[in-house]
Amino acid sequence: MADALPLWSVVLLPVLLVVVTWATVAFDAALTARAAGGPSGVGAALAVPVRETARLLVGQRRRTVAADVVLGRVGGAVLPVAALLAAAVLPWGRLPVADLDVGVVWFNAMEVLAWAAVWMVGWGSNSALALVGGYRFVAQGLAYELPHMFAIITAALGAESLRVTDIVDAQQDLWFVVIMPVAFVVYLLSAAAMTFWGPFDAPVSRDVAGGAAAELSGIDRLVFAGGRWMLFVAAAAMAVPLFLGGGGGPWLPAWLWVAVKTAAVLALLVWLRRKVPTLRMDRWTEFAWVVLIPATIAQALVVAIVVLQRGGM
Amino acid sequence: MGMPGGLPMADLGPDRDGLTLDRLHVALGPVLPDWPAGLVVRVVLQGDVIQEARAELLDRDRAGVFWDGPQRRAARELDALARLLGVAGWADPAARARRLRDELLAGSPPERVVGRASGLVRRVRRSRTVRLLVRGIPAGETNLAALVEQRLDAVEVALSSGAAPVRGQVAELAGLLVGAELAAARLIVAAVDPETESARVRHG
Repeated sequence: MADALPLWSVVLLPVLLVVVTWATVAFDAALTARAAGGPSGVGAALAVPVRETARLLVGQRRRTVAADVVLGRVGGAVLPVAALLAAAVLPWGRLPVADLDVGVVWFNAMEVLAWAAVWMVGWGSNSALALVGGYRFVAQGLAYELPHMFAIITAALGAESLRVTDIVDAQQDLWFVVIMPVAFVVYLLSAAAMTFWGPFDAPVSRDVAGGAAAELSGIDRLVFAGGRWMLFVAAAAMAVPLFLGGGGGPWLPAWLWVAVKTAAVLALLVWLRRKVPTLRMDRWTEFAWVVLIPATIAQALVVAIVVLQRGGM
Repeated sequence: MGMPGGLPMADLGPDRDGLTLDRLHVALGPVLPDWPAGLVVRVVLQGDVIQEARAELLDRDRAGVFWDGPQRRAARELDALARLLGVAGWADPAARARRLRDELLAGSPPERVVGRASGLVRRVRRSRTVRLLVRGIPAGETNLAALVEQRLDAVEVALSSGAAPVRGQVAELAGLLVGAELAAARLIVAAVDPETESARVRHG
């Protein structure tokens, strides 16, 4: 199974990622407009990302005194790059752009870059509120990263492979969400947490005026916010090959199943943010360590026993 | 001590665990999202824990009184609720509170708003996440959960009777904030929602 998508898919990947991100931002904007009672409708919502991008492109870059400009800008640029590299191992239908034999580890390595990126952006602007936001994300990482790693490694364990396409193939009879529901739920929570998406948006929340992103404007904000959205899309899309059977499903072609399932996961996460206020890490970390980590380890143990029963490994 | 970019470096001071750590002087406000108008709290931070606080109102003798009369007083309580929910990171209910506030300000009778407003207050009261977020955070003699409850009560009272609830004063803030983390401090300020207008009239 060493084959991969043709070379043109490398060029198409960023385009595809941007289009899906656009649709996700528009969906979120539509829900926001509905809550505020403002003008709603598909057209208005679809225009929001375009208008916002145009506004940020022509906007001035804000400068702060004694800022570490290089650190801050590198940090911002890391987000979209990490999102793109992470998306490279996502199967579009049956195949990803890069079918690495360590795909799961690659994906995890890319998303961990966000940890550094947000701290760098928060530190870089030399502003107290941005610094608080940056460190909030470091603390958040301590809460989500371990349960997250146990969750994705459980999927790899179930398939006895770190290759994403092998994990999809292993789910032909039964989706992993059925035999590892705890890992699936923890994956969704940590996907929100790693992309500082609500309810885990304390690092960029309103109470610290945008936190790590407080001092960003113009192109810097576009790169940071756009990269964060793209990482959010990539993290949500990874739930499909890991737990939801990838492109497997009746009647429809594989790529369409991937699209449908990805849209469902994204819609769930966008909807979830609206249901709960921001979870601060002084409240969540205890739950993450006392409940989620043991739960994911127990889940991994159960899956390991199932694999051994089947005569694997 | 070095002055990078002309800014003073953080100085040192003992923290709550007896260690000597950096202290940073930061002014919260007057420009912050969901922050009481004209309020400035100058704090000394160690990490994000407030060590010292001093609260004051800017331009207290300049501004007029906007939140006057039963209609606007009720709207003010919805405004305060919207800010509290905004600080808590709950955007949708915050947007709903702002919408109800705007309806009141546009002259719609309180009877038409009260049902939806008390539904909103009920939803906030019922939320287990909100309870988890405000539980066990001391604020001076009282605690954050009690302050939030007061704020929710004030919305219901102002909408049903048009009476102006008793508000905390700016001078009391400092005592509530010392020892709080920044996120908790923002919630405390939003829950107290100190009087920012009658003080101006008294001094003006």
